[in-house]
Parts: sequence; structure tokens; C-alpha cells
Amino acid sequence: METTMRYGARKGTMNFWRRWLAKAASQELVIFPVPGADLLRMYQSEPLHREAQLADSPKEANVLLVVGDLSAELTERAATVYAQMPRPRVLVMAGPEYLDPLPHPDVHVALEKDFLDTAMPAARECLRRYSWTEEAEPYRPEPLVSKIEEAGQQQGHMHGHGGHGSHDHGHEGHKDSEHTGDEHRHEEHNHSGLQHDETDKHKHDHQAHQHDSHSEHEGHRHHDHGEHDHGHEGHQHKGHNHGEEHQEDDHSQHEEHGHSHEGHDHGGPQHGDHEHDGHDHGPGFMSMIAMTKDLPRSPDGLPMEWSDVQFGPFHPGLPGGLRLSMKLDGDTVVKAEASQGLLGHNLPASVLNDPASLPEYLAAAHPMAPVTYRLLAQKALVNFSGKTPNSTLTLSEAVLLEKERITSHLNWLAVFGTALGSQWMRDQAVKHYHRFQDEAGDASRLSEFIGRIKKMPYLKLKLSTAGKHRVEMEDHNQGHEHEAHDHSGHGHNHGDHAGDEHHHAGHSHEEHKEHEHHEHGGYDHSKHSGHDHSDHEYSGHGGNEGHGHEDHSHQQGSHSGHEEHDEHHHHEHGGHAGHEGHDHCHGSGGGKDQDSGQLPEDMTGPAARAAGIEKDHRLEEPVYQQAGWTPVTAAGNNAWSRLMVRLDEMEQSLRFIARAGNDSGGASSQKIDIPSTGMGNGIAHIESPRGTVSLKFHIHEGKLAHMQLNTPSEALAGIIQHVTEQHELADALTAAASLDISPWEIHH
Amino acid sequence: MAPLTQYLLLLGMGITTAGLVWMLYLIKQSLGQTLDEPGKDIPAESGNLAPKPAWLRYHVHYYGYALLFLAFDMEMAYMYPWAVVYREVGILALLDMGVFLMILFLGLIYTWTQLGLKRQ
Amino acid sequence: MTPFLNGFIITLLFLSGVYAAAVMERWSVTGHVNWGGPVRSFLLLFAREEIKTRKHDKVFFETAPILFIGVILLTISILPFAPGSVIIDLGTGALFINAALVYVMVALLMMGWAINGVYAMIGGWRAIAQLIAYSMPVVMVLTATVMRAESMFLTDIVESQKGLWNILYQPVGFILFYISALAIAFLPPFDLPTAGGELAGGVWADLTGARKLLFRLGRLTLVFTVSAAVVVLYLGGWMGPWLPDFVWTFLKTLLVAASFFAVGRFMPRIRHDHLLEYNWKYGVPLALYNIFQVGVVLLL
Repeated sequence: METTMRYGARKGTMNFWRRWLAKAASQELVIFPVPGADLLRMYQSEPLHREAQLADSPKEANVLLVVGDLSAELTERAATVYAQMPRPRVLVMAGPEYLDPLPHPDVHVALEKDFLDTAMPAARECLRRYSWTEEAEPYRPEPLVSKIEEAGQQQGHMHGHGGHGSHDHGHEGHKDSEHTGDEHRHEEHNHSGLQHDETDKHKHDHQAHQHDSHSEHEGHRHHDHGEHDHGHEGHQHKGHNHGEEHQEDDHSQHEEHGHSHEGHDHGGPQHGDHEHDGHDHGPGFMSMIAMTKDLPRSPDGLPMEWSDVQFGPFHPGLPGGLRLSMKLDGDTVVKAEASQGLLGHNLPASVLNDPASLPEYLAAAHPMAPVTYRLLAQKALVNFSGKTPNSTLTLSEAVLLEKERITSHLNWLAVFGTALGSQWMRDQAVKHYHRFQDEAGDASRLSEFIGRIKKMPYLKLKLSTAGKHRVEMEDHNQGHEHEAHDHSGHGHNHGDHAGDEHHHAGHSHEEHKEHEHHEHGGYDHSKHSGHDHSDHEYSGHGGNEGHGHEDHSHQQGSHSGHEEHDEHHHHEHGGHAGHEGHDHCHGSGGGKDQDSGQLPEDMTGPAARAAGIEKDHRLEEPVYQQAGWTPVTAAGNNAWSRLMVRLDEMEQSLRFIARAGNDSGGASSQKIDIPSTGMGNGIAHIESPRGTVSLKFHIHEGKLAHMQLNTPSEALAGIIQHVTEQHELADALTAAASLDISPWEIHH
Repeated sequence: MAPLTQYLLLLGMGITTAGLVWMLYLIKQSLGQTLDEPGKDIPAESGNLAPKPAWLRYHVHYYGYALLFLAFDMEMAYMYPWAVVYREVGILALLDMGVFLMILFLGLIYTWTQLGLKRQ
Repeated sequence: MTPFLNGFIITLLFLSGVYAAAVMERWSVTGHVNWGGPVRSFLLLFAREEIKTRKHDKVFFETAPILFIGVILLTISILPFAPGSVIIDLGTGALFINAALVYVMVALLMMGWAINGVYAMIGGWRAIAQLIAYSMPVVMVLTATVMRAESMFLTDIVESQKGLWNILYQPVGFILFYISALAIAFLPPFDLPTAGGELAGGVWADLTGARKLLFRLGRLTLVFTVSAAVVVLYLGGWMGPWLPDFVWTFLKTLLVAASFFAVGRFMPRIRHDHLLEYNWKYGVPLALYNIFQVGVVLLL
């Protein structure tokens, strides 16, 4: 093993002074965990005390700790981190022995519980002995070098162009070095269509430009363009290629609605632009600010440049592995999306050939909720093998699930506490997390902790505006208010998301259509597009049954999303059309699909329940029904209500576990026999800590032919744009953290 | 001590600080040079490589406050000498500054009513 | 006691105070008291490479750390530890505190800009937002203490509290100054420029080695400085029974510093728009009220 730290040591010889310094400094380990502290915690049994600290940024760290296997994408980013760490630095890998393009690890340990106990002394020893060595060599990972070169060339190239200079640069004084940068920025700027799209469209309508491909937006054209200030825009949009932009940004959404539902009016869910009104300005106030609010730039109409910036995959305030790509206007988020597939890997052949290994595979692929995924696969396999056509959870399985829910929520709370900057919350969450993970959790102390969080000063104020899923403009609310009242008997608070009954039709059961309409007045959803790529085994069921329609439950097996897709959308819009009246009259601007401020219907889990939607698969499980279990919901649909829902769920889980008594049950690891002939489908749903997960597969001749896994994080990742847009960066990150997106669940 | 000495001391403090910093840099220098490697000089962005410069025309969303700040900060320059002689001059000083501050305060109230006191 | 010995003891106390602040800071982050921790992290920064970011602004990059620690050392040198034990007894003491500490935020902006990275730049601009938020209340409450002392000499301000400490004489001023002191030292919950969970270290995330060291040391000194300022302006400075006067200053300062860190540990980070909004909507009017109240009481 190569332990001279060729790529980690400083160049030079050890002399007395350096040796002493190396020895003293090696006492202090600052760990940068990859992919994140949350995963690292799963392998610890107690918090890091004095042995080491976690670093926020690579430049503060002297240990790069790789926890488990990484995808190629993530390895490249880990290599970036390693390259950016100041020397002396140690590379510690727990699990993999070598990951290209990272160098060979200086310390390698097996990925097991408490591996840090062996890894940390070894890392210290490396630092002590090899902080300076003559053998030190520059670390030049190929992907990094080529990326940097590419960027350099691009800049040179841009420099030649130079034609974007209509902006006034406040920093002329800074010499040529950054000049290249500037020019480059402009180039970028001009092509970055982002949020402008819709507004652009309007503008160009005015200017009689022809945008054939967007004819579906006809409906929006009459909206109030009067307020767009073209003067401001002029230079910016010249030379834009709108077709291209739309392909990139919108197409998926518009295409779908526009083309396939000609004649339906999408006014309602698509009116994205209003949020500026309700949000920023009191009614009746017309200042410069209000006049220029619809400009495609900042809401205040100032022409500014936007930064492209990434948060994650290794960001202290976000779940490890989750990456948000943002466009920032100053420190305001204009666009944010979660990158998919960073942790992606393909289903290995061994699993394809041996479906019985699926539970273990899924558990390993989702390290943030292994128990849930193992159970899910087991249930699906049992369903497939046909012993019990619709197997339900046993009590001990439910207890396991609830235990995982507690630890998962605590682990989330630690990340969330970091994002909030509340060290106390983070430390306490970590402490309780380790206790509960080691089956030594103390329910009363956890309850006390929860109580203290709820009473934390300023917290509510801070979180109530953060992560607010943007809702339609006030008029909309008013328009729907009376309808919302009709449903108030169900204990939801519809106030916040009152805008939309329409989509319920989407549940696609003709005979229940009427029903559902009345049931769920409060559901929000806008991302219709979300439905095409994944077929939805309706999580909406949970909701139905929540209202006592047990008779729906049989649908779970029989109704599968795929076939009904078209119908599905159709209904949606059918239902919608009925409400055109309201939606329409406020139709200013509008048309931004992704902004329409309604929760997508495939949203499940705490984030949906925090919006008052009683969607929970546990409602269908007899074990829970017998316990008289009802889901925790909250009104608000913001970061605060999400926090509250999770805190209350932890307490609820504690009670559930206590009720179940000593029947805590070991992991049910019965091996399921897969017949080597014949074929069939296996389906299962389970309520994971993040929402309803469903697994569907097709087994043919004993081999896995097709597998479909629907995870809650996909829907959660889809609303990031809504909960962050036009929010200040800190709020946006808090909002993203409040969703508890598991990056392991959003790979494709 | 004479006031002049005080300012000499102040200068001395500044020079001492600079000297200490210089010594610190010297010691650091003795510990070796930075090894030049690709990516190292790029600001960390949670694992992403951001080779492009970040400087741009930055949108400062609190410019409303900044303008207000200027107005108030000017006014504060008058407050210090006034505060020193306040007790001596008595009620007249209170009225003098009271009127002045009231005008300024009205400005604040006006900004507030115009929704200027928020993030733009 | 000779002035020399006095000065020596005070310097020692000052250094130990800064070290205590370092220990407390570590506690506020990790929740554990670790007496040796700060030394080790100090040495770690020593052993590290210096990294200068690509295309950085050379002037700002080099001057910001020095400016930062420089103004803080100047500020602490004008604060009196005991009657006669003040390094520099400026006639404009109270004004100087305010004027010098403005440069803390300016240095942060310079650094944030110089690094030429997005996180740092956002952190830098946040620093200025913070300055705009807290500086008006600070100036106004400082004026009120000057009104009572009829002098800007800090020693006079301490003397003026002989009968009644300013914390009781002008409680509104104390509260405003205490909160602003937290903001000046950009301690949590006002650690916006360096926010760990948001900007991953922000302004100083990309500094390593000596420059980081200067910022870290400067910040610790700054915490000690603003705590001492709270003590001098509101807590009666060196006044107290039995113990020697400079010991009183020292103990009170440590206590204030400890309370700073405790507040930071148990509060979520404030949003910068809230900070601006509250300071201008409530802080400024309250500070004006404070001046008015002090003015009326003084004339009675």
C-alpha cells in the first residue's frame, strides 16, 4: 500500500520544526465526508467529540473521507474536493479500495460500523509521518485538467466576441484578468433563458415575432403585457434563440399540455407569474417596483447579471449527494433544480438473474432508509410468489418501519439544523440519532428535545416564510375559498392551497370522480409533466382512505398507472375546465407551468402532509388501522410545518412503538423462493420516512424483466423550483433542506 | 499624556500589527511552498469545479436600506459633539436635536409607508 | 504596582481572554469544552499550504486580513481595563469604536470579493447588509452614553456610571448594543457572512494558512473586544467591590463573551432581510427613544 501520501503531503524534507508541527497538527482532524455527514452518521455509534471535526468546505479539511462506493459522477466531484484541499491531506476510503480518478487511498478501511475508530488513528499517523515529503507530486486528475482547460479556452474564445458590452461593469478597475471573465458572463447570460421564457414569449408576441413551436400558448397572449417594459429588455433579448430555450427549459411541460389537450385551458395551474403580486406588493400600491415587476430580470427591474452556482453534492446544509444547480440574481434564487442521477448506477446483472436478492440490493442502494426498502422488496416478492396476494405489514415490521422513521427524521433534523445554523439542534439530533440507532433511545428525552425545538425563539418566524410552496395570487384564493370550506370537515386546512380541485379527476376512476372532487379540495399540484416519465401507482389512495373510503382499497392492486395515463391527463383537464371561470379572470402574464404553486399530486410523505394533505400509505395497513392511527398533518406548506410534521411523527412513532410493546421483532429475513418458470408481477407500496414508495416488477422465467420503483424524492425534487424561486438564498437552501430529499432516490 | 502621544501610539499599534503579520508570513514561508496543482486555486463550491471567475454585476437587494443609511449616517456626525455638550446647553439642545431628529425620523416613516423597508 | 507590571498583567489577561473566547467558540460549535482544541487548530493552519484563488484581486486579497485584525487591535487598545490602564486614551473614544469596527465588515467584503468565488462574494455582500443593519442603532446608543458622560473619553464614560450602571440607566440602549455587538462580531445567529450551513464558510471558506489564521485570530479578538466594549459602556467597566479593578473588567468581559456564544448556540441563524428590517423598523426608533429618554432624565 502506498502510504507516503505522494498526493497528500507537502513538498519538502522533514526537519525538526516541521516534524514537531506535523505531530501537533495531526491531532486535529478536520474531516470532509463524502457524500455527506448524514451517511457517515449511519456508520458511527456516537457523535464525533474531540477526535475530529467535520469541515464545511474542502479548504478547511485535512481528511477526505469517502464513505462507501461512489458513482463515477460523484467520484469526479470527490476528486475535485481532494484537489482543492490544502496539503497536508489524507485520503481515507471506507469500502472501495480505489476509485478512479481519486488516487489510491492513504488509509483504507472496511465499511462497517465504527470504522472511524480505526481510520482516524491511521489518518493521524499518516499526517504525523508524511506531512512533508520529497516524494510529493502534483495531483492531476484527468477530468479536472480537461475541464479547466476547456474553461480556459472558452474564456479566450469569448474574449474575442466581446459584443455584449451594453452592461455597465462596476469593476472596470480590476484589470484584464477578470475581463475575460466578464465577457464570458455575458455570453452566458444571453443564452440562459431560464425564467424569462414566458415573459419573453409575451414580449415577442408584441413584437410580432413568430414562434410557431409555442402556439399552444395562445391562451396567454392576451394577458397583461402592457406592463412589460421593453425598453429594459431590448438589448438582452436580441439574438436569443427562443426555440432552443424552450426545448431546454419548458418543453417537457408545455408540450404535454399544450399539444395533447388542445382546447383545454390551462390558465389555472399555469399562472406562474402572479406570485410576484401576492408576494411582494400590497394591493393598490403602484411604485416603480410594482410597475416593473414582471420584467424577466429581477423583480425590481434592475438589469443585473446572474451567477450560476451549485450547492451540493457535498454541502453541509443539504443531504449528502444532493446537488442544487442555481441561478442567482444577487442572492436571490431565480432558478434552482436538483440534479438527477448523481448517485446513479444500473441494476447489476446478479440482481436481474436472482430476484430474491432484490431486498438486499435495494437496501444497499438506499442507505438512508435500508429497512424500508428491504421490506418493500420483500413484500413485492411475497405478492409475486402469490402466497398472499396483497400482503400487509405485520406488527413487528411496522415497528421496524417506525423505528427507521424516527432515525431517519433525526438524521434529517441534523442536516436541517446545520442549514439553519443551529448548532444545538444539530448536536442534539445527532445524539438522539445515535441512541435510537443503537436501540438505546429514550422516548421521554426525545419528546423533551422536540418540545424545546418547538419553543425555540425566532425559529417559527424564520421558517414560516421559507419553503413556502408558492401559491396562486390572492384572487385565486378568494375564488376558491368557498369550495375549500366545503371540505373543511376533513380537517385539512385548505387555505394555502385552495386553488385546485381539478387534478383530482386525475385519479381516474370515473365512478369516484365526483367523490374525489369533494374530498380533496386542497391538493395542489402543477407538475403534470412529472407524470409522463413515471407511472404512478396512486399514492392518492392513501388520501382516499383517509376519508374512510375503505372500498377504494382494492384498487391498489388492480389499478396501475400506466394504462390510464392518457385518460388521466384528460380528466385532469376536464375537471379543470369547470373552474376556468375563476382561474381565468386573473390571468395576468402567466403560463409558467412550473410556477403554478400547487403541489404535484404525486407528492407524498411529510412534505405533503405539511400541506394538509392526508396522504399516507399507512392508512391502508391493517396494523395501523387497528391502532387507530391517523396521519399527522399541518397547515402551512412551508418549512415550519414540515418541521412540525416530522417532529410530531417522531412522537407518534414513539407511541406506536410503545403500544406495540415488546413485540419489537427482528428483521424478517425469510428467503423467498422465486419459481424459475412462469411470469408475473410483484407490486408493493410502503410509507417510507419520505413518503410512499412503490415497487413494481415483472419476473419472467425467474429473472427480473422489468422493474419500476417510484420514490417520493422524485416528486420532492420536482418542487424545488417552486419553493425556492425569488427567495433569498438562505431561505431557498432551508426550503430545499426542509423537503428531505434523498438523492439516492432520484437517480435514473 | 498629551493627545499627540495618543495618536503616535495609535500609529505604533498599526505598525506593530503589520509587523506581526509580516512575521507570521515569514514563518509560513519557511514551511514550504504551495505545490501547484490543477483545481487547487479554484474556490470551493461544494465539490463542483467553478473555473470561471465569479465577479459580476451583483444585485444588492438591500439598496433601499443603503440609501437610508447614508442619510442617517450623515446626521450622526452631528450627534457626537452635540452629545458632549448636551447637559451644558440643556433644554435648548434637546429641542435643537429633537427637531432635527424628528425630521429625519419622518423620513424613515415615509420610507416605511412606501414599502421601502424591505428586501427589494 | 508599577505601570509596567500592570501592563504586563493586562496583556496576559487579554491573551488568556482571547484564548478563553476560542475555547468558548469551539464549545458553541461542538457542544464540548476542549481546552487544547484551539491550539491544535492554530497549529493546523500553520502547517497548511497557502492557497491563493485564481484571478483574485491582489490588493484586496492581501490587505483585507491585515485591515481586519488591525482595526480590531486598535479598538481593543482604546478600551480601558482600569483607570489609567488604557493603552491609548483617545479623546474620541466612543466615536472611534464605531468608526473602527465598521472596517470589520468592509474587510469582509474586500475578502469576499477578492476571492472571486460565488459563495464568498455573497458572504461579502451580506457583510455590508449587516453593517447597514446594525450601525445606526449602535451609533445612536453610543451617543446616549456620551450624553451622560459629557465626554467621549471611555474612561469618563466608565466614571459616569459610578452611581448607576448604564445597563439600568439606559436599558433599551444596552439591549440594542448587546444585540448589535453580536452582529458586529458576526457571531451566530448573525454569522451571515460566513454562514456554515448556507455558504459553507462564505467569506473565509477559501482562505487557508496565514490569512485564515489572521481572520480567525481577529474574530476571536473581536469577540473579546466587543464584549469589553459592552462592559465599558454599560456594565460599569472596572467597578466592583473587593477585587482589583482590571480583574473586574476581565471577569465581566468573559461573562459577556460567554453569553454571546450561548445565545449563538441556541438560536437559528437570522435571515438578513429580517436583520435589516427589524433594525430599521424597531432598532432605529428604539435607539431614538433611548436618546430622548436619556436626554430627559439628564435634564431633570
